[in-house]
Amino acid sequence: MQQRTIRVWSGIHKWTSLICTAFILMLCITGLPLIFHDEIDEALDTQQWQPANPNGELLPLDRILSIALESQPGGTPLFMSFDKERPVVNVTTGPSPDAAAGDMHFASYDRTSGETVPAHENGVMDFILQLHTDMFLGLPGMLFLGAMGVLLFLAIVSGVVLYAPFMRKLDFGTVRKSKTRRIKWLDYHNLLGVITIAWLAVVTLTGVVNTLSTPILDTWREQSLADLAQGYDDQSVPDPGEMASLDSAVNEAVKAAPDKTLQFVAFPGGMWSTDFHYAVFLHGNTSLTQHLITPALISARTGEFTAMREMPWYVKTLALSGPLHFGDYGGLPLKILWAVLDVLTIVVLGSGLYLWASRRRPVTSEVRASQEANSPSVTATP
Amino acid sequence: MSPAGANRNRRSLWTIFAAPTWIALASLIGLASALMGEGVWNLMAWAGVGVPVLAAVFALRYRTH
Repeated sequence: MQQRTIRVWSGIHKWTSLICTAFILMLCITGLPLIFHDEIDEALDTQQWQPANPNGELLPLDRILSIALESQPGGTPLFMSFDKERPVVNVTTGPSPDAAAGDMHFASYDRTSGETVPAHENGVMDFILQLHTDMFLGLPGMLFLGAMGVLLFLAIVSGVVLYAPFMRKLDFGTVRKSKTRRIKWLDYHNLLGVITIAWLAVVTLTGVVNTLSTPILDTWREQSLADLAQGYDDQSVPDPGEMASLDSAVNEAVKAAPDKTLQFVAFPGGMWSTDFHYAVFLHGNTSLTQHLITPALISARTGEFTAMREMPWYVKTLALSGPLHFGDYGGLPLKILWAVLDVLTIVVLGSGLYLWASRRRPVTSEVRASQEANSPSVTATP
Repeated sequence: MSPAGANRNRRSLWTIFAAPTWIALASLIGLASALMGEGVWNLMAWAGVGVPVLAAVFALRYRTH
């Protein structure tokens, strides 16, 4: 490789890494407990909750919704979701249909009694998740971390290019521990960097896609749902009192997709629906399609079934970016491997920082020194 | 192999990138497998994503001088 080429790629590697390293370190460290959030939540959840009437009839969704709205005067419904293994319905309300995440109120209800279900209180994990997602800065924070992800991806690519000149005279995996400290950490950096590359590239790119969820959903509403708003021109978002039965809306949706499973309902006016429809989301039942949701749209005022809309490719990409980023889709062994690779990435970042802080000469003489360090006749320069 | 596992002729790009390429392929197949299903697919995922971890263990155990 030309000396000039090495210098250019080294410049790219240095600057992209330097800008993003502090944030990526934060993401790696906060990400570590998040991999195991299911296990941690379960371990901390001491109370064994039981439904009030285990064999009793399930209350209508409309009833649960009115209980939820009574407890939040002036609130408007945003989402309703359904627990998988217990008769529990979760209702998210907010001051307005387009309320920000921080203003939302979340409560769970026993469908056999209408009583509230004690929430999983886990302030520490919530704090870590918020820090990891947007650093408590909302959408700008999320997009900023996305930009850091793009820089990390450039650092990965330039790192691969630089790997070649450093490895010209070395076997794969060689770590020269007996040479200088700098050579030893250079070898660790190159080795651990190159073996984690595919995993880190996937986690980085899917993380970037996750930070784009708001613009992706905005685009989906404008492109895929815009035509459904026709004919509602002079109407406002319906109030809870004006809405047709939620139970019959959900029944219509389930009837229209007998091969799918109900996941959640988005109310009119929010991110996940039009201003005038219930969006009832259903997911598939195979391993792959369970991550992919499809909405059935039902007119919220009349209760009339309007359409079933398969998600466009960019929303499917967003949906699959979830599991591929979190690592929670292949059992505990996959989570453990995820954690090990996360720790190896922390070592790559730390050693990279050390190599930059202890640098004394241009990268081209660095390459030469690394190659000469193999030759027994040449003493490595400290 | 020489003491430092090195110092022979200059290696070609293919030689340099052979092991990293196989490790990356195994990782990607593993990552995709867990999306495809349970059971055998999960086993494939653990094996595939386990390859980079095993490569680290191998290098630190046998290639550190």
